[in-house]
Amino acid sequence: MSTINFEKGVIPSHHFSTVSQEYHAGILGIWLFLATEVLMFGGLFVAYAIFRNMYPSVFHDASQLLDMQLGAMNTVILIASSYCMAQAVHYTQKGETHHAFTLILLTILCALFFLGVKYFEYQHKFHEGLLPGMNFTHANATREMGIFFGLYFVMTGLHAIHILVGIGLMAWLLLRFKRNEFSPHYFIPVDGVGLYWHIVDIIWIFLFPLLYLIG
Amino acid sequence: MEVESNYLNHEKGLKSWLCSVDHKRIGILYFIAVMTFFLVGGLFGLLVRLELLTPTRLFMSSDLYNKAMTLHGSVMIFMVIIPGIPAVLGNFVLPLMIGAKDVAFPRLNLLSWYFLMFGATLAVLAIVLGGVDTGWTFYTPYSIRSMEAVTVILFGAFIMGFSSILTGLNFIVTIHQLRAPGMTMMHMPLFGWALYAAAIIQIIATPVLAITLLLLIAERLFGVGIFDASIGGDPILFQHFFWFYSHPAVYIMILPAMGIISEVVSTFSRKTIFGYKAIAFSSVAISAISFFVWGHHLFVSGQSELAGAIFSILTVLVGVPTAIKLFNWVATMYQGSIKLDTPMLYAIAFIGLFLIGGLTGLFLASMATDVQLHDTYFVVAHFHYTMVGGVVMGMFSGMFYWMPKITGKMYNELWGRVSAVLAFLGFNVTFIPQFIMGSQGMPRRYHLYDPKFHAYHLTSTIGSWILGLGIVIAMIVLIKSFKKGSVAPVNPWGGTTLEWTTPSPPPHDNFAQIPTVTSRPYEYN
Amino acid sequence: MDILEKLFSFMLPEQATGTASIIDQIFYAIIGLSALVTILFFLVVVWFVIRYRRRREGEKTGTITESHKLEIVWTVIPTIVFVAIALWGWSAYRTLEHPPADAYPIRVVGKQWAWVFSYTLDGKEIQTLGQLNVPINRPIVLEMTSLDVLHSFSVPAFRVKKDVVPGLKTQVWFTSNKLGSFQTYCTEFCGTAHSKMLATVNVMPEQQFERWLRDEAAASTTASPSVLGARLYEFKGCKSCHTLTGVDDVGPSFKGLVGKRREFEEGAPVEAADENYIRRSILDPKSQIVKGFKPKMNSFVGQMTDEEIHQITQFIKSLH
Repeated sequence: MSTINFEKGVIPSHHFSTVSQEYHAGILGIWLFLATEVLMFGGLFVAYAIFRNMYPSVFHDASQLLDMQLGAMNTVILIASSYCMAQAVHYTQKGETHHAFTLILLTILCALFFLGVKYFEYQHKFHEGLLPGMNFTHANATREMGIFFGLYFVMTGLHAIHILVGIGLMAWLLLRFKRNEFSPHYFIPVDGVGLYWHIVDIIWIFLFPLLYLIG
Repeated sequence: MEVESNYLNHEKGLKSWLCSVDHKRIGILYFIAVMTFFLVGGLFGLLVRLELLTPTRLFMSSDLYNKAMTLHGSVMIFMVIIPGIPAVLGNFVLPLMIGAKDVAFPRLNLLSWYFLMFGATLAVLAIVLGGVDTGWTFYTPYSIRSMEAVTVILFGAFIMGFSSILTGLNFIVTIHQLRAPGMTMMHMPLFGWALYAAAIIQIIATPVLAITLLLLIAERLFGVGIFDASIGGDPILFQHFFWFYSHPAVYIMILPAMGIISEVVSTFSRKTIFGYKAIAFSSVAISAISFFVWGHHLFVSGQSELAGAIFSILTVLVGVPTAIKLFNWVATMYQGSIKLDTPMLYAIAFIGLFLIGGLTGLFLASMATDVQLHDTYFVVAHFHYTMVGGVVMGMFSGMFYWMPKITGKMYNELWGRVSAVLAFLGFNVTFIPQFIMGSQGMPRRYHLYDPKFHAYHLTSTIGSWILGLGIVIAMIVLIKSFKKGSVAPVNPWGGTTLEWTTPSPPPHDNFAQIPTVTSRPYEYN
Repeated sequence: MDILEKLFSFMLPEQATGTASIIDQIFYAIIGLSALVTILFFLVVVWFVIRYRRRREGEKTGTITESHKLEIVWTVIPTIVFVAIALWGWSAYRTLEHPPADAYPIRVVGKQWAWVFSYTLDGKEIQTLGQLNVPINRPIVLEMTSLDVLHSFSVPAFRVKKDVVPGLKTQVWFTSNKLGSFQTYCTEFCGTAHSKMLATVNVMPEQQFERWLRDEAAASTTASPSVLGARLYEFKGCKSCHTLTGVDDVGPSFKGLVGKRREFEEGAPVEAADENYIRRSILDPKSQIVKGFKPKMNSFVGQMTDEEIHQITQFIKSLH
């Protein structure tokens, strides 16, 4: 980001003295926020580690009940979406906002596809009685599997909510692109949403092996 | 007479307040909200104490008592002492103190206030829906089985957590990016350091509370099972999660109060703070160690002995930076020019009460004595010595200290002092008996109790009235100064930090020109 | 230490075990230290406030800003003292935590809101409710668990306390060296009647304890189902919500229940309450909430045997 030239007649908000100061404040704020996201999921990963340690074979068996292919497909989709997002930020910085616009649209499509796959997965699980904890009714399975599926639904559910929020944020970006609000001198929101999207992607990259690939 | 333009008269109308992104106005919004919650929480506290006037039922059923006790705790913790100092005083003072025109993210700042209000609304809704009786700690599995409104208040606490996170985030960025030219970190006033240390905890610990509350909500709504022993979950896990947040959280509450004491003791002694570096770094040390002490809440829960021993040692270590601060404050008074105005009286009350709060923490940090004292009134008293004796005294010290700046008016000094003395005396009368009956085994959260504890409870209840009177007087004095006080000068106390260089009340933009700092704070003579 | 004990012994309850003094020693040491430090702080602060009070505006004040020596002193000394306290507490805890191998086991079940103590004699189980009888001068180990929520078993005079957790076994042990009755408390919040979840430890001579145990064992084989049901009414905690007086409490009174017409919040009414109705109320209470009551009762599946359900039903039938 060393190539960015801040001082080109752009006026910072009233309480900042320079645009550079404002930009760095924004980026620091976004990173801090992302740290809280990671810590929040961190709690879930700790819970996962504890119960996997407690019931290793149950987790192994329960994992077999998940559809690895669908999970793998979603992983690829999210990685692709992250690539689009990174490119979109790049083009915004270069001032080619129409490219950025298309790429963000693509990212949204990937996200929607991801949610679609998730929807079919969930529906299938509901149908088979692979429900969290108390409601776990799957035939010939142990009761503790309910814990695995409890964690599965909480972890992927919370992740899906983050995807939804991401879609909302990207839609907001598109709107602002339409209004020509971004330029090589002002793109903090694009940068921020981009970073957010990468974190959501990275969380999935951890979720996928932990849930689908216990072997 | 021509009134100068300031942040209070800059714009008019309710909307100009509710949509304001001025950190000073948001500070006032928080002030109104937090003081209202404080009255509500205090009322519940007084009702609980009143019910305990007699060993048998006085006017509440056990269920009602449990609800009043829970609401006292939840309101005071989540809605008063967590936002109390950072969101009210931090918001108002921090930018002024470091020579900034606002916090880094003014709109986010307003949003935090709305999060707090939304969370508070949910808490009210929970009361309307029948109340909550789990205790503010929400221990599983009781909190899974208890009444419906628990889900609502959990969600409320979750939302208020966001408010806290965003405030912390805002302060960290503000401190990093918006210090006036020349003000290095080592030139920053200690209140800034304290807010910074607290904000680190807000950022790191609060997300864990968020996920804990979400898991508990999921447990209640969908039966996820991870806290439910009947299907292989672990109810103790909740306690680990909960205290991983809630123990550091007490430092979210106390660190800013300690920051205020550093300011007030120095100003009212007219003397450079003793050991600036020691105080600044001890704040950071407290916030770092605070993450590794949570297991001292689980000494009698069946936690492994080794884990207990490690937590025990780490817990006493968090006392060291706290002790350092106390020594440095007292050393600051040496060879000073001490004036016992209201803020200083509250600060001295803080030093005395927090000292006792800290020392009684040793009884609870030592595993053997904790066996006897765990979950008794000893813990209740210890906690109140740190949280009321510490945080609330610090909060009032800060409010009286900065009120002339905030309102542009002086408060009534005599009544201010009366409130400080009454609060100090009433507090001790309320909580000293609790140490004694706790040591003798009186369990906490008991609606009915053994008549042999009656004398202690009776004294404690009478003390609560004196304490309540002191606090009410303090609030009246503060609020009255808004309307009636004499005009406050720019720097009524002879303070040396930047907020005392702007007019009282400050203009909308804080500083006509951003000051350049050339010296350390607290230079007198 | 003796002086400290004299000064502060009013704070602690009587000692009824040999191990109590181990904890109390630490208590006295910390309180002695705390009192000393508090008094010193108080004196210094008062002295400074008086000595250095502001005599006139603008007077000169000291210029000392820091002292590395002092900082080191008041960092190192508290660290050593505090860690010493923690280590002392740990070592005491170690001696108190592990019961001797020959300790006499008693099983404890906590539930909302009662304590049930079970003894075994000749393969037979003897239960008491709220009364823990133990012989003097013999190590006793309590093996505890909970049927519902968290509880905590505390005997202040013995200086013992341990949480009682559903799905987990925890234990405490003690050797009482004093005859008499001692109060126990539940110290972990467990709901409505938390403060009434009390029990008494009765410390008795060895022979008296043995005799009591034998008598109890004999009594339990000869009693009729409805008499046993009356015991269950207390032991299983029915008593907390269902009265025998005909006055409804949290749940309907048991008096005259059998034969009564029952109307529910949901579903078809039952014309006359019978044994099946009672059985279903015990095993699936939420399925038939009587009009005007709240669904407060949890299922007793796994907590009562068929035999016990029969006994309690006979008991309820005997109440006219």
